[in-house]
Amino acid sequence: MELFAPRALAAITGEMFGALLWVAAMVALVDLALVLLALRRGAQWGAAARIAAGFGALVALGVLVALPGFTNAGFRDLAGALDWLTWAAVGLGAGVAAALGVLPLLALALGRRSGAAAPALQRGAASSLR
Amino acid sequence: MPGSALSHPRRRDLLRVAAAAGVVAPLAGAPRAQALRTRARIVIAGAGAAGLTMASKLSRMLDGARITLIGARAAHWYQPGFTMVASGVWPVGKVVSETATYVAPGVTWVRADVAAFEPEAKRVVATDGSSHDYDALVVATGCTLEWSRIEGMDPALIGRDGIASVYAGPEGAEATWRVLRRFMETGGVAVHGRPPTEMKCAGAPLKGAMLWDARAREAGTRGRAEIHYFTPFRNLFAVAPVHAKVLELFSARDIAFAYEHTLTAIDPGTKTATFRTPDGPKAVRYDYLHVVPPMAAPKAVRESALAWQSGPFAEDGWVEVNRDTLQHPRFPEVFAVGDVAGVPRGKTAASVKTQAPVAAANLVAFLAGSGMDATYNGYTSCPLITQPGRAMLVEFDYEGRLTPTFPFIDPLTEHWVPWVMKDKLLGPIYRAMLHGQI
Ligand SMILES: Cc1cc2nc3c(=O)[nH]c(=O)nc-3n(C[C@H](O)[C@H](O)[C@H](O)COP(=O)(O)OP(=O)(O)OC[C@H]3O[C@@H](n4cnc5c(N)ncnc54)[C@H](O)[C@@H]3O)c2cc1C
Repeated sequence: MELFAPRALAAITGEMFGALLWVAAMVALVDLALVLLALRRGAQWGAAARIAAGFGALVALGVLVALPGFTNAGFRDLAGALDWLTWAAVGLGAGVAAALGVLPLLALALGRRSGAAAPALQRGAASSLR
Repeated sequence: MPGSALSHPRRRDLLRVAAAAGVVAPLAGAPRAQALRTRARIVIAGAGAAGLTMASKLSRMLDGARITLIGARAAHWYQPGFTMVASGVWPVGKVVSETATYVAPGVTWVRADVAAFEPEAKRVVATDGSSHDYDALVVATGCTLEWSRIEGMDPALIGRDGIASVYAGPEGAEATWRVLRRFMETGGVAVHGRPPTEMKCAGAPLKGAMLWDARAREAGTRGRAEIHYFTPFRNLFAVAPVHAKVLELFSARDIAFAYEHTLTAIDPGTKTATFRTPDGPKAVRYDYLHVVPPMAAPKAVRESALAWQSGPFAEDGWVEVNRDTLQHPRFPEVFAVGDVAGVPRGKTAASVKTQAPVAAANLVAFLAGSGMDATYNGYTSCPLITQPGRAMLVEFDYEGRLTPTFPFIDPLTEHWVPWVMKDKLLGPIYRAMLHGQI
C-alpha cells in the first residue's frame, strides 16, 4: 500500500513533527559529532554507559506513565496485547533514544579512561624514550 | 490566488534550496520526471479534502497544464476531527486551518463557488460571474446538509434547547460539546440517529451515541439517562460484521435502538422529534437530540447534466461516474472525487486518499489518450470511536469486505492503538494527502 512507501512515510513524519524533526536531526548530528570526539579522546565509555542507561530507564518510566494521558486516554483504555506491546515499545524507544543522546556527553564529561593518554602526549612519550 | 500568494513563494524557495541539495526532490512540489507535458486546462470544482488533493496530485503529474481550483471557503475544515471536538477531547482550533496552506504551487485558486456546470460546453460558471472553459473537469464539491428536509429544524438551533449536531461545521461540533456537557449534569433522554440518504462518515452518528454513553458514565449520570438510536434501515451499519459488533456494543451499554425510523420533524418548544415509521408517525420526547441531516449533492451539481439521471443516486443528484474509474460515462472529460461522487460507500476522507490517485491517474491517461487502468475498490474507513481512549479501525470495500491496512489490528476489537491513530496519526496523514504526498 502507498501509505507504507518510504516517500509517504517521510511525508507523514514531516507533517507529524514539523520543525521538531529538523531539531531532532540537528541533535542527532551534534550527538554523532560528540561520539567521534569522545572516541578520539579515549573517553570512559563503561561508566558513561551505566549512567546513561539509568537516565534512559528514568525517561522510559516517565514516558510510560505519561503516554496514555498524552494521547487523551487513560490506562484503563489499554486493552490486549496490541495496546500493551505498543505502549512498552514506545517507552523503550524513548528510553533508548534518551540514553544514546546523553551517552557521548557523559563520556566526555567523565574524562579519559585511566591509563589512556591523549594522542599528543602519547607521541611525546614515545619520542622521549628514543 | 490571494491567500496562496502569501504562502507559496517562501515554501517554493525552501523547496528549491532543498532540491538543489538533492535532499527532498521527491517530496517537493515540482513535477516528476515522468510528468505529462500538456497545455490542457483543468478545472477542479471544490477546494475541500478531495479538490485540494486532486490539485496537488495533478500539479505533480502534469507539466504545463493550467489548473484552476474553484472554491469559496477560505477556512479548511478537518471534518474527521469534529467528533473529537464534540466529545470535548480537542479544542475547535485543531480542526480549522487555512485553505491557502494547501493550494499547490502553480494552481490558480478562484475564491468563488461554481454556480453552474455546463458540461456540453465544457464550461463552469462561478458565483463571481467568471466562466472557466476546461479540457478536463474534476467535481469535488462534497455534499450539502439538507436541514430543511426536517420540518422545524434550523441549524441556528444547534447548541440550544438540547439540540446538537456534529455535522454542522466546527461551531456545530463545539456547540454539541456544550449541549452534551449540560446533559451530563442533568441526564434525561438522548436521541441519536442517521438520515435515510447517503451520508459522509456513516460511523459518526454511532460514535456520537457511544461517546454520549461514555461521558455520562464518567460523570456518574448514566443512571439518569436513556439513550436511543434510530435508523431508517434494518441495520445499524451497512457492513454485516460491523453491524453485528455495534449491536453487541449497544446492548452492553444499554443503548436502545429502533429500525425503520426516519426523523421528519422536530418541535424545539415541546422537545419532540417525529419519526416516520412503517406504523405511521411516532413522536419521541427528548432532552438531547443529535440531528444528522439528510445529505445531497450541492444544488449546482444536482441541477446539472452531470448528475445521475436514474437509479439510487439520482434523487440526491450525486455525480454519475463509473464506480471503478471515477470517470463520467456521458462526459468522459469529467471525473468526480470525494463525497459528491455517485458511488456506493466512499464518503470519507480515507476514501479520498484512495480515490484521488485513481482519478488523477485516469485523468492523465485520458489527456494522454491512453487506456485507464487505475481502479477504486470502494475503500472506506472509519475509526469507530467507542469511548474516549478506545476505537475500532473499521475499513471495508464496495463488497462490504473488511480490508484492514494494518493486519495486526483486529478491526472489530476496541483498542487504544486505533484511538492513538485517530488522535495523533490520521491528521498528519490527511495533511500529507492534501499536499499530494501520499
Ligand atoms: C462529523 C464528521 C466526521 C467524519 N469523520 C471521518 C472519519 O473519521 N474518517 C474519515 O475518513 N472521514 C470522516 N469524515 C468525512 C470526511 O470529512 C469527508 O468525507 C471528506 O471531507 C470529503 O471530502 P470532499 O472534498 O468530498 O468534501 P469537503 O471536504 O466537504 O469539501 C467540499 C468543498 O467543496 C465546496 N463546495 C460546495 N459546493 C461548491 C460549489 N458549488 N462550487 C465549488 N465548491 C463547492 C465546499 O465549500 C467545500 O470546501 C467525517 C465527516 C464529518 C462531517
